[in-house]
Order: sequence, then C-alpha cells, then structure tokens
Amino acid sequence: MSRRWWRISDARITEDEVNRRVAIARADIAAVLAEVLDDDAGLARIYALHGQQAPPSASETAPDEDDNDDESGQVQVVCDRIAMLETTLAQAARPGGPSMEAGLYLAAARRFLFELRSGLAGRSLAAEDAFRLLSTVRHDLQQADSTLDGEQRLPLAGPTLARLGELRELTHELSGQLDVLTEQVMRLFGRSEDPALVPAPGP
Amino acid sequence: MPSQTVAIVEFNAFYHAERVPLVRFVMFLGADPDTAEDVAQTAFTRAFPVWHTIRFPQAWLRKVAQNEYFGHCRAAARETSLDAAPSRADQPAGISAALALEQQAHTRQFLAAGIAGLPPKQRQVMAWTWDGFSDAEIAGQLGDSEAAVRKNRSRAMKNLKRLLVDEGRGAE
Repeated sequence: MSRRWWRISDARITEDEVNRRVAIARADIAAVLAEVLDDDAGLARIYALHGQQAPPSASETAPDEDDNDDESGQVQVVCDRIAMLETTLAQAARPGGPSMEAGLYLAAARRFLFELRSGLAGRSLAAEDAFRLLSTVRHDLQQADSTLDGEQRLPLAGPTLARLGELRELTHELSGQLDVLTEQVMRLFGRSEDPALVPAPGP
Repeated sequence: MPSQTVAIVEFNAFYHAERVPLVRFVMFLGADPDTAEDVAQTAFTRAFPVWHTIRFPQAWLRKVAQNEYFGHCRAAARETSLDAAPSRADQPAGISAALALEQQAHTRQFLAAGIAGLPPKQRQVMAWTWDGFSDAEIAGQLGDSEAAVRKNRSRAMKNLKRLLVDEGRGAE
C-alpha cells in the first residue's frame, strides 16, 4: 500500500516543476548574492595577493555610481534569463525527443544563446553581434516550429503526436521569452529598436 | 602596455559579471554560501596571473572552483575525523547569515532537501547543466563520457523529484 502511495506522490512533481524550482532558486540566490557581495573588495584582494594595486573601481571613476550598478545588474539579469532559456532548451533538445530534426534546431539555438551570454558577461560582444545571435536563435526556433508543424501532419501514433504538440508549445513559449530577452538586450545597448534585428524569413 | 591594460579591464569586467554565477555554481555543488564565496574567490585569484592564456574563462573558472571545493571537502572530512565540526553558531556572520535571512523559504528548502540529497557526481552534472553547458562540454570538464553525463542527469532529475516530494511530505 505504501508503495502505491509512493508512486502517486512521486507523480505529483514533474520535470517542469523541478526546472521551475531550480529557476526560482537560481534567481533568488543571484539576487541575494548581488546584494551582499562586494566586488570591489574582492578584486582588491586579488590584486593585493599578486602584489599589485587594484585599478580604480568603476564606481570610483564613473560620473554616476547608480548608472554603473544599474548596468552591471542589468547584465546579470539578462545573463540569468539567457541561462534559464538555455536550460529549457537543453531539456527540449535532449536526444530521444519526439523530433530529431527539431531537436537539432533547438540545440543550435541553445549554442547561440550560450555564445550570447558569454559575450555579454565578458563585455566582449558588439551590439551588432548580439543582435545577429538573437536573430539566429529566432530563426532556429522558427525552423524547429516549422519542422514540428510538418511532423504533426504525419500519420504518427497518438502519444508521439502529443509529445510533438508539447514540444511545439514549448517552442512558442521560448519564442515569446526571446521577445522579452531581445527587448532587454536592446536596452543594454541603449537602443529602443535596431534595424539589424530583422526576423529571419520563414521556410 | 596596451594589451596588459586590455587584459586588466577584461578581467575586472569578467569578475563583476561572473562572480555571482560562480558563487552560485559552487553552492549548487553543495557548498554553504561562505565556502562558495571563498572557493570562487580562490578560482578568480588563480585566473588572474594566467588570464591572457585562458580561452574559455567560464568553463575554466568552474573547473578550478569545482576542484577547489572538492579538495576543501576532503580536507574538512580529515579534520572532522580529528575534531568536532565547528558549530554554525560559532562562526562569524558572513554572507550565509544574510542569505539565511533573505533567501526565500522555498529556495532554502530546495538547496537543503534537493541539492544536498544528490550524490556528488549528479550535483556536478546538474550544476554545469543549469549554467548552460552542453553534454559534450560537461563530459570534457568532468572527464566522463557524454552518455555518463546524460545518465547522471537523468538520475539526478529522478532523485530531485523524489527528494522534493519527500520535502513536501515532511512540510505537511
């Protein structure tokens, strides 16, 4: 009896629920750490250990301290959002999914998001490159959606069709989140709109 | 020297952007916040003199931090066998105190009941996965095969579901 109850309880938490809790925990921890960690003091310790003097911090040299804090915080927020999308895509694109071809597009989208996040975190990405990566991710999501649409029309078994439908729904959700991400990246680069950000044509 | 100036600017910017994610990564390996901060700081300290040679700094720092943390665990295990572990109450109030006060209850529970309950290898795989690394990248960093990474992730997810159900049941 206890075994049966166990199974019922176990079914209460889905993989999506675990991922949701992970995302909440990650965002929660990042927010608190950003509040309590003193980056300038940490950098000063590193320079001191190597017998050097830390260069003036951004907050000391910049005209407006709040602007720098805001910018750093905004980059962190954007990077966290990208990491969340990457995690979702990693799950969606894992081998053994309902559509190998769509999985390849989703995996490619994830790689480009990783490139975007690395570039933003390292402040090594030009605006044009960031928007190019976003456009490529959007294109990959569109291709995945188009592939799934085609496969849903095939005479496949019910459970397979259902899984294709779920994956397609997830792809739509990711496209929506990509819109939000695009707006955030535009703000990071101080743009309200960018002509380079042209959605890729459909298949 | 201009290239050195560029490297310093890059390092500083990278530190500002990646410190929080790296501390969080170490926490997801199972470290308490204070240890995670120390470990992350050590990793950045090691990166500093060789910064210009590091090609993939995110992965490099995580691997160094991971090795540092597991070395710390081994040292702590040796010390604990000789002396009683220090009580948390005896330790100075650091970021863990701030985290304990400010973290949402569900996050504290998730870390205590979920992450802490996973075997080390599964924790490693999930920490890398949640930071956006691919199976191939994780396999390369952990010295495992991609199949082993997938297997550990699958088992970790299954364990997390069970642990979180247990936690929910305990809270009822």
